[in-house]
Amino acid sequence: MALMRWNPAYELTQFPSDILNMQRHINRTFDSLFREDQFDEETVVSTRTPAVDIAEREDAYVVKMELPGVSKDDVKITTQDNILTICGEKKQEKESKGANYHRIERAYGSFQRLFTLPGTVKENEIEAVIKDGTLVITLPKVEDAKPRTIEVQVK
Amino acid sequence: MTRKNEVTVVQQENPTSLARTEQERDYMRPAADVYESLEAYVLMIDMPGAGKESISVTMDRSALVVKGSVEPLHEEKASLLVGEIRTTGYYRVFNLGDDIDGNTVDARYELGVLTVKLFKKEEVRPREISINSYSGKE
Repeated sequence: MALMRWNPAYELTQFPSDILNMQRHINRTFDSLFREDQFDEETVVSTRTPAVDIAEREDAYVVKMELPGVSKDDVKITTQDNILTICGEKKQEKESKGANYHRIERAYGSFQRLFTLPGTVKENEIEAVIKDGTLVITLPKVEDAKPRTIEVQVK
Repeated sequence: MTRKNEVTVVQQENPTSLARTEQERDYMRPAADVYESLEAYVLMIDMPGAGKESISVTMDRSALVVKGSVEPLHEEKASLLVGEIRTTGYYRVFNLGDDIDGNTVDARYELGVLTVKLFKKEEVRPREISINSYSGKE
């Protein structure tokens, strides 16, 4: 599951253009002079690949994915050949289409992420819930994979 | 559109304090779309996992401040294998122009997105003038 997330912005920052960097620097310096809000532009987080957390509990694996603005019907979760696929589409709101935009920072379009399952998951008992823009998938482990406590008897 | 998704917008006469608490200092700036329609400006801010209860929207005549905290995803007795989601809260300031009517602001939180609709003042909205056809006869 040690997949690296591809960040399209990374390649752009690696672009060896001093001019590009210099311009950015100047812009930022000017901005910070006139703005009280001293946030770095780069802290804006929005990529086409949704961020995930994967946690392992004693009884299950839990996958959480950030999907703001994506409704239940626009996400599809499948398992096949030990691969968990989460795919879907973030649609632009109809009312905002054709409007006069000042800023577009949020990412739209389709996304897909695949994870190889460890093989110790009950594939027919996987549950998924979406709430407040966060998808939570619970993958219960098979009995054999759960840790067992063996009591040591002293004789 | 339902009432349960509505977020209360706190109006302030005095300028909104931009000073942040120690805890809020490393809050991240959420991605936002801003568009303008004939009668309003609409902000759409991605705040997944924040929950309606944690979100606060404060505004005065010159700025709108949006805050929200995220429940740590860490569960007890669980080890994190992949950790890409940031668990710090959200904080962002939007500067407002003179053409916004501070009395009619609409905010709602749905699917992890906070949508704030800032209506323009009546006098700056475009007015439509109806055209009467003139057939030539008096």
